[in-house]
Amino acid sequence: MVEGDASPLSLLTLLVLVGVLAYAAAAGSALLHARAAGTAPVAALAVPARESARLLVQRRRTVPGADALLWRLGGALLPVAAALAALVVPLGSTAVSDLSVGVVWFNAMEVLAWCAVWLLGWGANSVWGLVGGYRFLIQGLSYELPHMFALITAALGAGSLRVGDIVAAQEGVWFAVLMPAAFAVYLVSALAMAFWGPFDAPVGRDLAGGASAEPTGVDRLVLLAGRYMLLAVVAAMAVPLFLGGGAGPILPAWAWSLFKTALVLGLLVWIGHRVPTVRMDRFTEVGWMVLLPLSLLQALVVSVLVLAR
Amino acid sequence: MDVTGWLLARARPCAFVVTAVGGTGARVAVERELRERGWRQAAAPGEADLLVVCGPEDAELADAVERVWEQMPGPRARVRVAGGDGAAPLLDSARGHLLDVDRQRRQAAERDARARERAQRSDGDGHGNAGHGRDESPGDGGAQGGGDGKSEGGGDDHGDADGGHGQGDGHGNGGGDGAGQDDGHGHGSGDGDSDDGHGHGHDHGGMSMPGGIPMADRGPDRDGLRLDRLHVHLGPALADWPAGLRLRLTLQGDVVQEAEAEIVGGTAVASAFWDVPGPAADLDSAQRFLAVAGWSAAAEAGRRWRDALLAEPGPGEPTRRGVLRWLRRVRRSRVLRWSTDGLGRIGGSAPDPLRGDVTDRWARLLDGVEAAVGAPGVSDAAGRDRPASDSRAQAAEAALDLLPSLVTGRELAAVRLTVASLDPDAEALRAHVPGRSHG
Amino acid sequence: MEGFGAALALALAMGALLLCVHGLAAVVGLGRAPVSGGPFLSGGAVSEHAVSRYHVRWYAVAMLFLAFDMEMVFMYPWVLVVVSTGATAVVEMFAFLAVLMAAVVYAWREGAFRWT
Repeated sequence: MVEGDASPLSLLTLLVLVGVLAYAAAAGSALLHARAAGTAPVAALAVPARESARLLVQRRRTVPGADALLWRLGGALLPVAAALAALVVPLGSTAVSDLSVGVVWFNAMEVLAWCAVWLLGWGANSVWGLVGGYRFLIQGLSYELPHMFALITAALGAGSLRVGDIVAAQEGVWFAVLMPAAFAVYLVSALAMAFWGPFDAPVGRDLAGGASAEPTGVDRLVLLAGRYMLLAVVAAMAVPLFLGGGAGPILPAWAWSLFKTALVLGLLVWIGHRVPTVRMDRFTEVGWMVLLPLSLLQALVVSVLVLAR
Repeated sequence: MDVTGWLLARARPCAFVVTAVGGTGARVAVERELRERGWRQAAAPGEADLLVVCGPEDAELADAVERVWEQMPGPRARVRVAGGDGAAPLLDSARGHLLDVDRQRRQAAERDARARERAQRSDGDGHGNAGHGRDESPGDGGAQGGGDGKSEGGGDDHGDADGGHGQGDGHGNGGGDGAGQDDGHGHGSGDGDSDDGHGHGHDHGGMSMPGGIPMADRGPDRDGLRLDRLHVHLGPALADWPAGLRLRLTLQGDVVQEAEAEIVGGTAVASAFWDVPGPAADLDSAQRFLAVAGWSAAAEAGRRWRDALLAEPGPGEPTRRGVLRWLRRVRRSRVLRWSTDGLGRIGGSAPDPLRGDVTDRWARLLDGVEAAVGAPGVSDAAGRDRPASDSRAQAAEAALDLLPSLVTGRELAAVRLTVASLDPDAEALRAHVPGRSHG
Repeated sequence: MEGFGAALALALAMGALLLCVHGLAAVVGLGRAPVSGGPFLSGGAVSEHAVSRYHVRWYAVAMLFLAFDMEMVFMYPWVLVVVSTGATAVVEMFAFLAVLMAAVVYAWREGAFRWT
C-alpha cells in the first residue's frame, strides 16, 4: 500500500515538509509563549524566522580547549538524524523509501540524537554543557527501552517491520485503539527523545542552557532547527505507527497524514509548555518500573491478539 | 541593500540580564519591557546580543559583567539601567546600537585585532588565557543610563585572585613547554593523594594545556571515590538567580562537594525594592522559581501578573481573575510537586518563610499571593499584612547561613531549585543588616 | 537494497543543505572568524578544563540498560516469526523478558534507580 519513491522530487518534498513542520512547531511554541506573556500572538508566527535571521548574522564562538570537531559535529548531527529518520515515514501512500526494516531504521536514526547531544555537551568544554550531556544520557537510559517496546508492539501488530505493512494492518482498527498503552508510551518517549517539554533538562534553564549553552550563531541555528525537526519527525512517525497513516474519509491520504501529524505535533508542543521539567533522578524509576512493565504487558496482550487472529 | 543590515533589522533581540544588588526595581522594569516587546531573555551570554546590567554601578560586580560581555559573540550592545524609570528609552538606544551595522562591523574588527594582539603577547610572556583579556575600549557598544554617565568598561580580570584558583600561570598557549600541573590551584592534594599522585604527571605533564587552563584535579568524593573536581560559581551573573548571590561550588560530576555562599557588592544600598509590601514580591520569587523548574510558560505568566500587580496596587477584576487562574494552574501541577518534594528541607529554628522543603516554600509563596489578591475588596488590607522588610532581611541572612549545608552533596538541579525556593533578598539584607559581609 | 540508496542521497542532501546554511552565514554574518572566549560560568573565571572524570552515579542503570538492550536484537526478528511459529514463540520470548524483568525488579529493590 505504501510505495517507495526515491526520486529527487520526493526527497525535496520530504525536506520541505519536515522544514515546514519544524517551523510550525517553533512558531506554535512562540505562540504559546506569547499567550502566557499576554502579548500579541500574531507576532509569534514570525518569531522563528526572526530568530534565524539573528543567528545567521551572529558570530560563531570557540571556547579554549573545546573539541571543535566533535562539538560542531554534534550540532550538525541532529538535523541529519531527523531527516534520515523521516526517510521511512510515509506521506499518504508514498514514503521516500519503504524499507523492509523501516522500524529498525527509524529507531537507529533517532538514537543518533543521544550521540548528538552528548557530543554537543562534551565538545564545548563547559561545565554546563558537560552536565547537560550527561543528563541526556540518563534520560536516554530511562526512555529508550519503553520506546523500543512501543515500536516493537506496533510492528508486532502487523507482523512486519515495514512501515507500509504497519499502516496496512490498521485498515480495520487503528493501533492507537488496539494498543493505547504503547501509543502513550510512544508519545512520552517522543518528547524525551527530542529533549522537549518536560524532558528538556539536558538544555534546561537551570544549567544556563546546558548542552546548548555555548553554541552561537549558525551552530546554534542548526542545533535549534535540528531539535524542532526531530520533534516534527517523531510526531509524524506516530501517524503510520498508531493513527492509521493516511486513512480517513473524503480528503486524500497525504492530507490526512499531514493533518494527523500536525495534531500530534501540536499536542507535543502544548505539553512542553504545560508541564515543568521532570528531573531524571525522579523519572528513571518511573521509566523502569512503570513504563517498561506497562509496555511489556502491552506487547504480551498484542502478541496474544495476533495469535488469536 | 546590505543583507546583514536587513537581517539585523528583522532579528528579535535577546537580552542577558545581570542584576546588581539594589537593581531589583530596574530588573522588574526591564523584564516588563522585554516581555511587552516580545524580546527573549537569554539563559547564557552566548545566545544573547544585548547585555542589560540592572542597578547601580558596582565595582565588585564589574569583573563578572566584563567576562560576560566578552562571552557575547556579537553583534552586541550593552546598557546599564540604573533605576526603574527610563528602561524603555535605554533599551531603544541599545537596540539602535545593535542595528548599526557599520559600527558593529568596526567593533568586531577591533575585537579581532585585540584578540590577535593578545595572542601574540601571550606567546611572549606565557599568559595563555586568551579568553579573558581586558576590554579596554570605553563605549564599546555602550548605551549608558540612569544617573551615572560613566562607562563601565575597562574591567581588568587578570588580577582576579578569587579563592586561589590560579589561571594556569606559566602555561604557554600552544607553547608545548611541558609545564607541570596547576601550581597555586588550591586543591586538596594533601589528603591521600600519594597513590595516584604520579598519575597527573603521566597524564598531562607532557602536554601543553589548551588555552593555558589546567586540567581538573582529583579529590575524594562522598562515595569514597577519587574523582576530578571542578570549581565553578553560580551567580552573580546568572539568569533567574537572586541578585548579588554567589555560590562558590566544588563539583564532582554534577554533585556539589563544597559550597560557600556570599553576597557580591551592594555595600552602598540603603533601601530595598520590596520594602513596599504587597503580593508582587512573592510573585516575583515564584516566577523565578518556576523558570528554574523548567516551566517557562508559567514563569512568563507570573511575570505578567507581577507587573500587573505592581501597576495597580488595588488589582482590578481581570487581574485578580488572571492571578487566581495562574495560581490554580501552578498548584495543580503534580509534576512540579513531584520534582520538588523533599528537596532542601529546613527545620528547627529557621525563620518561618524558610521552613519545610522546596515544595512547602513555593506553596507558601503562592499562598501569600492568594491571600493578598484572593477576595475582592480586601486586597489592600491583606497586602499590608505581609511580613515587614526586615523579616525579609532576616530570612535572607538565615538562608545564606543555611545554603552551604543545604546544597552540599546535592546535584546542580536540586541546588538551583533550593536556591530559587529560598530566594534570599540581598537587597533587604544590605539595607537592613549593613554589617553583614559574607554568607 | 535500493532503499538505502535513497538514505545515502538524503544524507548527502542534508550535508549540502548544512554547507549552504554555513556558507550563507559566512557571507551575511558579522565576522567570519569565530570569537574566542572562555565558557560561561556566571561571570566567574575558568579555573580548569570542564572535561573531566565525571561522577556517573547512575552507572548501574547503564549496565542494566545494556543487558536489556541486547535483548532487543532478538526481538526485532522475533516480530517477523511470531505468527508462523505460534504460541511457542510468544511463551519463550515473554519467559525471557520475565527473567530480565525480575532482574530489573531486583535492581530496583537494591536502589539502582535512586542515586541522589
